Order: sequence, then C-alpha cells, then structure tokens
Amino acid sequence: MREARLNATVILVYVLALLLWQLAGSAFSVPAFILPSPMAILQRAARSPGALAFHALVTLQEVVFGFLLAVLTSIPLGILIVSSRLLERLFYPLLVAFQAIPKVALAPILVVWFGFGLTSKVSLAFVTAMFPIVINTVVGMAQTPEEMIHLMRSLGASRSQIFLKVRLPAAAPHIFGGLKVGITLSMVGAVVGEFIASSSGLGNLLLIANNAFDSPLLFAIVILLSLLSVALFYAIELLEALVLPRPLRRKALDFELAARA
Amino acid sequence: MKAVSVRPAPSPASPCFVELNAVSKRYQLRAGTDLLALDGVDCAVAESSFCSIVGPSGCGKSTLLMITAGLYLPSAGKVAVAGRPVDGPCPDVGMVFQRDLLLEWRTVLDNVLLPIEVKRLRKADFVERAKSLLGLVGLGGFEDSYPGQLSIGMRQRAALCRALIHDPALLLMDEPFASVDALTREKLGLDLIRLTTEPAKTVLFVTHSVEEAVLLSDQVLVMSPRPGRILRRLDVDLPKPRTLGSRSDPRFHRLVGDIRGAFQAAGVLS
Repeated sequence: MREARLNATVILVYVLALLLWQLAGSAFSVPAFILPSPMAILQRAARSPGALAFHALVTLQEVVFGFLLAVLTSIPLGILIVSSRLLERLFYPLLVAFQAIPKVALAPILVVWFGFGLTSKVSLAFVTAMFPIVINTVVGMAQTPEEMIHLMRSLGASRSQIFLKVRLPAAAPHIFGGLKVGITLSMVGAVVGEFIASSSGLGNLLLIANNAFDSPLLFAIVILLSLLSVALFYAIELLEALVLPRPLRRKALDFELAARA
Repeated sequence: MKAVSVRPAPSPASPCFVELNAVSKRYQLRAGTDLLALDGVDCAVAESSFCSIVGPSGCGKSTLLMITAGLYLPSAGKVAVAGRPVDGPCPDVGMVFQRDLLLEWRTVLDNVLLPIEVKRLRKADFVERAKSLLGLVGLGGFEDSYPGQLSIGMRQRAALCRALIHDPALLLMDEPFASVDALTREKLGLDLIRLTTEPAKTVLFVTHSVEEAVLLSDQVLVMSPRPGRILRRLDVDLPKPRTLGSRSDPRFHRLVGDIRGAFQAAGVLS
C-alpha cells in the first residue's frame, strides 16, 4: 500500500514537471528551436517513427556488439591481471595509459582501420566499455582474503576450485557493477563513432537534424538515446538478479549506493 | 556419525603427532633484506592433546601454524605430522582463523560442507553430520541462514564446524576467538574442548591470551618476540574436564604467573 502511494507520487511529480515545461514554453514564448515543448517533441517523433526505430536499431546493434566484445575480453583480462605478477606488470600500466586517452581521439583512427560501417562503431563502443569492467574485475578478484586461499589449499583445493568456489563468486557483485558502468559507456562510444563517420544510427540522425535546425527531432533523439541506455542498464540489473544469490545482490546494491554517495 | 578418515596409528618411533625439529623461517622481503620469523623452533605435540602457543604479536606464531599445515615450507629444519614428513599441504587438517572466512553467498550448512565439496566427497553423506555438529555448538535451526544474519560468535562457531566436518586428525587454530567478546570467548573455548575430545583430536592453538591458553591446553608453548623461539614449555596439570571453575584452581594462577614470568624475563612485559 505504501509502495503504491510512493509510486503514484513519483508519477505525479513527473507529470507536473512535464506540464510545467509545456506551459512555461508558451508563457515565456521560448522559441521552439531553443526549447521545443514536450508536445512538439512527441509530435515530431510521431511523424517519423520508422526512421527513429531504424536508426535506434543500428545504434543498439553497435552498443550490444561492442559491449559483448568488451565483456568477453575484459573479464578474462581482469582475471589474468590478478592471477599473475608478470601479466599485472605487463598489462596494468598499459591499461591505465590507455584509459588516459580520450576515446573520442581514437575514433578517426578506428575509421581509418575499419571504414565507415558497423565495425568502426562497434570497436569504439568496445574500447570505451572495457576499462570499468577490467578494473572492477581486478578489484573484485582481490576481495578474497589470503587466509581463505590458505584454508582452501589446506583442504587440497585446486586452483580452479579456488577460482570457481571462492574468488569468482566474491568478485561477481563488483563485476556486475563494472558491467553497468560499461554498458552506458559503450552507448557513448557508439554515438561518438557515429558523429565521426557514419551513414546511419541515432548519432548520424542527430547530425542531420542539427543541420536542418530540426530542434524537436534533436530532443526526440536525445530522449530516445537516454531511454535505450536506461533499458540496457536495467537489462544488466535483471541479469544480476537472476545470476547472483540473494546475499550478494544486497552487497552489489551497497556498492552502487556507496559509489553514488 | 560417519568416520571420514582413518586416524593414522602413532608409529612407535615417533610418539608425537606433530613434530618440529629446528625449524627456521626466513621471509625474503622486497628490498633485498630478509626477515627471520622463526629461529630453530623445536616442538612436539602428543597425539590427541591440546597444545597452545602464546607469544607477542609478530613472533611467528601464525608462521609456525602455516608450516605445520604444509602451506609454507620452512627455510631450515624438519616438520612431521603423524610420522610423515610434511612437504606440501597436509591432507588431514582442519583450520580456523581469526576471521571466520564464511562465504557470504552460501548458507551456513553449505559453508560447513565446503571441505566435502572441495575434497569431492558425496555431500549427501555428510549433511547429517554437519547438522549434528551445528547442533552441538548451538546453531541448530540456523542451517539455512546466511552468515550475514549471524552474530560474530555464531559465525565463528560455524567456522569451527567447517573445520571439523571432514573429521581431521589435526586442528590448527590461529587466534580463532580474537574477535569475539570476553564472555562468548570462554564459552567458545569450552565448546572447542568438548568437540575435540570426542572423538579426540590433536589441536595446535595460537592465542594472545595467557588465561585462555592455560584453561584449554594440555601443554603451553611460550614464544619469544621475533625471531620466534620457544622460551618455555609448560604442562598443564589441571583436572579434566575443564570448566569455567578451573580458573579458580590455584594451579591455574601459578601457571598463568609462570607464563607471564617467562614473558617478563624475555622483556615482553615491562
């Protein structure tokens, strides 16, 4: 009951804010090309749903492929860094140096390498998403106290048993935290890639709308990008809820709250 | 209860279950220097006896335990458990540390059964034993709880059950009760005696507390500050079974005084 009232209040606040936006626009006669009203944005989006859907799917494809590549390389890389002093020396400074590069600066190079098609955007989404996943995997894998390793070894545990029964589950909440940051970053990478060189995708459509002074469409695209990001974020959260046992889910939530504070 | 491992019969040549001969341990530090943690330690623990090691912080007590478990190799000297030289992790030990090291994502029962899983034994065969151990330490009914729902004392009891589930002949404990409050601590100590006398186990118990060592042990080894050496060896002749009342025995006070005296002579207490 309290939950229902809480939700109703939240919805009410949102509706009021939109209403305020709508009314303020006409009351202060803000030109539509600076701040279009919510109704104008909605009407503009309704005029070309096909185009928006097509370009959204292109962007979504780039993000998902880039992110999956990042997951498939970053988690093993994080594990390797933790498991060997040599690999740590080899990869860790490289990784930090790589992160120091603004990923946008890589876009022209990636276009030269991979052309104007899907691959250059996927690869930019991939490199932007990597860092938080690797770092969180490293941090997570280092959670297990030394004594726990001793305890496992005293029971005759193999390296793979220590990894699967202790280190990996202990790291899981951290890894999921990295995935959530990574998926939103890979959206940034894909759109930046589309800005640099593309013939489709929401980033491309954004440039076209900008050149045509089509502000309502610009706003519609930005909102759509945000909705896509949120949907992807919650998809990871859903996966987390399905994969992690309950005590670890609570722990993951604590990390997020701590990170936000 | 099902017997899990056959306790090796003590060989007549070495009547002691745990034997350390002139064991030294030198750690290599980063800057080319090294640190002598243990310096020629001799120690002999009779089978089925309870032996405490007391000493100041950093005196190498934990190192001694790790070497006995075969997790660290000594720089010099010989280690034997059950008459066999130790050159790798001992197969038949249970360990308890200061931190309970329970896995948060497993229920209490699954935590206790962890050694069974690691040793690839049939879990179903040990569920009854795990439940009865948990019952013995007052954790009956908490099998399906998660460690996060237990108090520190209860968690440490669950860790004790985990160390005993595979019925090891040797129990190695590194300040297991250091993080629980004083009252719980004495209760846990007496629980421990109960669990390790029937069936009888050899226990090597590292502690800061002189009183705890005397109350629980058959033998107390007093260690010097680093590099760790055995300063004194005391046999505790208090009557058994030990109770909280054993503390008022005059012999208890004499032994505690003797150990403090040994520390004083070594310049630990001044």
